[in-house]
Amino acid sequence: MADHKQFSQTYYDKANEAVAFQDYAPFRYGQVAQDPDAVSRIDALRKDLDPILVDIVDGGIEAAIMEAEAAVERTARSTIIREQHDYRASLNTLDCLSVSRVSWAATADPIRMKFPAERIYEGDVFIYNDVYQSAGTIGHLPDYCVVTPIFWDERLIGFAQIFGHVNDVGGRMAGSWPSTSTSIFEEGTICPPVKLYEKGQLNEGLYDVLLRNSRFPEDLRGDIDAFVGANEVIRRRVTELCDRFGGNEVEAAFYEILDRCAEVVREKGLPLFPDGEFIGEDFIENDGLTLEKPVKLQITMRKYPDKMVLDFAGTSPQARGPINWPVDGRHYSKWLGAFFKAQIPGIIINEGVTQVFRCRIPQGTILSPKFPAPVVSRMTCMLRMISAYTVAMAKAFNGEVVADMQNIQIYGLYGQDFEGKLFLMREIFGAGSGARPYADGTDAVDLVPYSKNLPAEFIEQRFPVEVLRVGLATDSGGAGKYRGGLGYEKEIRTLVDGYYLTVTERTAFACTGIKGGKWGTPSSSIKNPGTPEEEAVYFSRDAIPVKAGDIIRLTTPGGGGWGDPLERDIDAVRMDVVRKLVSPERAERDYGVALDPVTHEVDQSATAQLRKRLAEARGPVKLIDRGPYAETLIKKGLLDVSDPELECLDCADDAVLDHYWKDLYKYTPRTMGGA
Amino acid sequence: MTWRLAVDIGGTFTDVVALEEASGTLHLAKVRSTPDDPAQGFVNGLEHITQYGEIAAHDVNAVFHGTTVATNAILERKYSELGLIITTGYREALECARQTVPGEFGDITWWIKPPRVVPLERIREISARMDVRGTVIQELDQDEVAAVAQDFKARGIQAVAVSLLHSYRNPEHEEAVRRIIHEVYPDCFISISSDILREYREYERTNTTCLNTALMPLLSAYHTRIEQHLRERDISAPFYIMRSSGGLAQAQEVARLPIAAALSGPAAGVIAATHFGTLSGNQDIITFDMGGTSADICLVEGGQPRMLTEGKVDIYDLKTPMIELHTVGAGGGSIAWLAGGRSLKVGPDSAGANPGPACYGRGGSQPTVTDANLVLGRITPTIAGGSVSLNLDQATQVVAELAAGLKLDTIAAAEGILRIAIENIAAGIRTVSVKRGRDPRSYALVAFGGAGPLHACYLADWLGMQHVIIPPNPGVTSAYGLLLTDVRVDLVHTDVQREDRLDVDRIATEIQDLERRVDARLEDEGLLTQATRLNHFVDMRYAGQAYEIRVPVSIDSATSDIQTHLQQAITKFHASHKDLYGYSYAGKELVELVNVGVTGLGLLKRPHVPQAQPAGRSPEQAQTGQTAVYFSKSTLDTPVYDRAALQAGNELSGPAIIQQYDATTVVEPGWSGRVDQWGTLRLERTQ
Repeated sequence: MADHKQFSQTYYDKANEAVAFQDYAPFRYGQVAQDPDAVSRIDALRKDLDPILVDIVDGGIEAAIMEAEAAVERTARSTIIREQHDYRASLNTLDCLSVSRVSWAATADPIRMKFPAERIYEGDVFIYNDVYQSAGTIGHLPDYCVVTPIFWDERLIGFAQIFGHVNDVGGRMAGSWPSTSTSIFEEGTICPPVKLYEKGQLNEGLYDVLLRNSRFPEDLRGDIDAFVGANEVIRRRVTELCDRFGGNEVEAAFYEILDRCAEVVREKGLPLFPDGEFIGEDFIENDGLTLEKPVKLQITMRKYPDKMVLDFAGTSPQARGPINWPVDGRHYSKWLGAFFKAQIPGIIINEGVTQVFRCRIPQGTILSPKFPAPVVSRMTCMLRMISAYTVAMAKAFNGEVVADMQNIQIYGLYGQDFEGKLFLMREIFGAGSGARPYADGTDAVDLVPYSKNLPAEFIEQRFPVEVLRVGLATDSGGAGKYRGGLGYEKEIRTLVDGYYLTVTERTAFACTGIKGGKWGTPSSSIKNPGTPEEEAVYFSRDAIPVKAGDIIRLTTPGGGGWGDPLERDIDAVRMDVVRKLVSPERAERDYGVALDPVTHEVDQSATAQLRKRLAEARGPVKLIDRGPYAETLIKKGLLDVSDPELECLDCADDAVLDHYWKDLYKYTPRTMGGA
Repeated sequence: MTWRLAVDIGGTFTDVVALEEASGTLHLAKVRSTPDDPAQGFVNGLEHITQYGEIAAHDVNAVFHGTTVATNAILERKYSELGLIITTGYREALECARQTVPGEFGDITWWIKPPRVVPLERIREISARMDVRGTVIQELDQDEVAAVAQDFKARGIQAVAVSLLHSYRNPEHEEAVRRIIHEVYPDCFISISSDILREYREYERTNTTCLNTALMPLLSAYHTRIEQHLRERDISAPFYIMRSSGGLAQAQEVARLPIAAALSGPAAGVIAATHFGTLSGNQDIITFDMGGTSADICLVEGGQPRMLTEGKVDIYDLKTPMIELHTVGAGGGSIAWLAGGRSLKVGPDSAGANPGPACYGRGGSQPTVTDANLVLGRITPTIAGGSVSLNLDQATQVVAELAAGLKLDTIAAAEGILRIAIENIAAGIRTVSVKRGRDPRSYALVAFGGAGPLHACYLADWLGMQHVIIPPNPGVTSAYGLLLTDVRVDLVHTDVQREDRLDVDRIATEIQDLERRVDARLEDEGLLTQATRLNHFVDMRYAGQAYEIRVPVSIDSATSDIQTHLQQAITKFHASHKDLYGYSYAGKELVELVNVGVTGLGLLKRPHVPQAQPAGRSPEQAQTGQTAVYFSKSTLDTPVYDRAALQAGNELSGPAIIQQYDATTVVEPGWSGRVDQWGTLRLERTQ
């Protein structure tokens, strides 16, 4: 720990935090120090470092990362990696700081902690997915992480890293994503940080063990080989930079790149935020087991002139189900830090952001769970953290922020195909994005860059499924002066018996509208819609039985609206109706626009009267509108929020709860999915 | 006398080349482009060259054309309103696209989706449906289609795209829809997706078909104007247009499939560069075409440019065969700026031709790559024989302002701009070479375009490349390339089959069908062709992968042993996979065949190009003066030569500056050069 402290003083304590966090989880789980010689060597060089050289190294690193990610996309097998881009490459300094600009990628901390420098050789490749031995760099077992050390002139100068979400790592569910696990041991095979290659030699026995523990070993092998190959690309590119400019200079440039990010955030980003304390919270629908009980994520944002601290006190305790997110404050800071882009489009965020922007997590919460707590659905925390942050920001900026959204969910189907082989179709599906203070939200987009949906013509080739519709869910976007983006509407027919699964949020809770903007319609899955057997499925579920011929209509949530819907441009409302994005009924009810349902001609005087009447009936608009499910729970005292006077709390309707809670435990808990 | 005329329309200039087939006599002309009415620029260029070269109409035996009309229409969204007919359930296919936000994590907060090619109110669903095997699940309802066609007609929509699910497998429904629309609405431009892009993935196929349809009325009018002009001038020679694939097609074929000509101009440049590389004995080259706004880069191996099956124009994904051009936003007019007030960046924004770089003195107030070159002395204030003068003071001032922000002196900032621009281009070259497992040091760099020769040696030094080739007229290289190519037809058919369950007879039938269609197209095109050649290929992947690798198959005719040929192709696939991605699963995993395809070439007669007799080694007759040039960390007194006065056999060594009408070449210290018998400048690194 002594080394760590010295290191911290050099590179981390620049935030000079005023708040004491002694009862909190460590900011950084990794205990990795750079040796003092390296620190003084680098500091000496940095004084006179050519700024153009820093730009060139920065460009070279980004080109290398892009190149490596492109190689993974073209060769990996798991659809979540290849179509949905759920993987990330990064470059780490020797002390495991992430220099490249996907700030929240994994880091090499667990390798440095387990292997002394003299046991790390050229030609080594490390692999792990062990969440609790990952020093808070990996969030769940399906994320396999491959790390390759980079040497220059026989000296270790950093690491290339790629992690990606593979199809299956064993455990009790096909796809290794149970929604009701109570221990990480149910979630798959655990691989601690080990050498897959030593000095270029593959450990075939280890590889066999890993592959044997997957339901789809060919996919897993393809993915891991793709990661190893792509890391090699990064390693080669970085050593080329060193050959050209000198290894010491390149290494010094790494730290300059990190400091630049901190400097830009401090000087250009932070001044945009008002100083003060702002609280935001949001709710995960449940922990997968106790389905009517929401789980809270709370952020107290403390903004000082030169730094920002997010304190997560008030967040729910560690959950029994798999929604815990087991990384550290450092990683959370990098995840949320990317949202400085909402304030400063185009800003580059790397690990340097943590010098001025820090998340602090109390012990024993869903954000600081203890081994062997289940974690596979930690994605719910990732998304709700953004939502809680949005609410805090809305208070800080008096509503001049992007409204809430939920742009990742998964639906899928598994069973045996016509040849009797196990199949798993899983699609990461986007949704409507939140409306902006200057523009509508975007329809049907994913949060993850480069993520792609699955073409119907691909699905029908590969799986025993017919895709009857892929489109937008009318009226799903939250109403507002600017409308939230629309969610998807998709209809599939299964041609075999099997099980349907969802990993989702915002099925009962809605995406929050801001500053008079309304909540977006939550998502749902409806089995056999419009038939006597119609059955709605809410919340994350991992084993809803389906029969050959069953139809499932699923929708994804609309983004929250922004601003008063009664101020929306009348012609924009008319065009939404013409384009069937908004129904004539909702145009009238939400936007106060009276138009002919057939010709779509607007009755201007009726519209003016209607808008006046609606405005009077409604009263002044509220800053935050979470929708009927949240409002009812708040009004009934089942949930609490920090600033109720800022919230729209019109609804307290038992019928809303009945709707969602009817037959709640018909499918949960199930211990086996049959696969 | 038999003349071939080539007209290449670029953003700023329209370049015209006339070549006499027997003697090799060459005339060049440059006229201003007319972006508001590109056909006018074509006409002006043609008038100019026929008068200047005294070329009689009946002596013209072919007219070749490279154009950015289609690209610009896409970039500026100046295309026709069109309707789309799509399978029920898929009305919002274009809106949903692939759900992708471009850029980085967090960009979803501010990214605004650009408008789709067809807005929702002009999309109609029809109930006909095929399954994945191309079997009809729901029969086509003729009345339903006729009603849609009537509706489009009543609304005055000129063009209609048709894209139905699984039409790549069975185009029957789409063809029926086209028939019905044609009956109801004969004037309508129609394209069906199975005709435009017969491959699976509905969004990409639909979007490509829509863009194609949107361009049809525009391109049709454009060609009509040009052909009318040619007729008025009594030029009855066939009129060919370059396509993105680097092959030619007659105007009516391009009017049917305008999307295939989206990258018409840059493709011709690659063809010409390949030609000059080959002449100088270099079959493996990297082409580097740098103009005012961007640099286009292409890897050529064995005299063959690398081909792609899909690419992007602006934000639109296009699936059409194209030369693999990598474009970097680094041209002479690219603007240098400080990101976050701190990091020096160059491009992608460009000062363009108007206002242009600060040194043009037309109001440009931001430093550009050209300004940096001027400050460093790499270009002289007076160029093009005194017809253009550049304002050094203006350039120095804007660079000095940037330098203050960087806390550097002006020269260091100018060199910084150059270095960053070069690094951006070098990254582009690495993308097409190293990324593919190719070492750029074993390739020659062929540099052209207005700004290519200025940066070629610097760039080659950066990448460790040994050879640089500068064509005789760098500024009109693309127009020249139009004279050097063949008619080309590409057709593809998707039929996914696994290696262990191949239906060889079905594949043979598909190949025969493709060959028949390719032959028919070539026959339509064949006015000038001397011979035809068919090349076959298969797109393959490991079962489970999403991307295919294109592998050539050596089939002489459909009667040959396809089974054996496919096995050989599979072996080649394993090797290619290892080559591209570092590993293969030969013997471990099964391969999937995804597409079969046929490329047909209608070979045109090559023009005769005369060789010059070698003169002496000394270039002194061409030296026009001396100038001071800053080369990384020292200023050197540098001789200036006039390219037009250099003769075959002349040798020179760096540092040197070679000026000509359309470009300046900088020979860096440590380089030497020779003019060869074709007038090409061949530079070599000696240190």
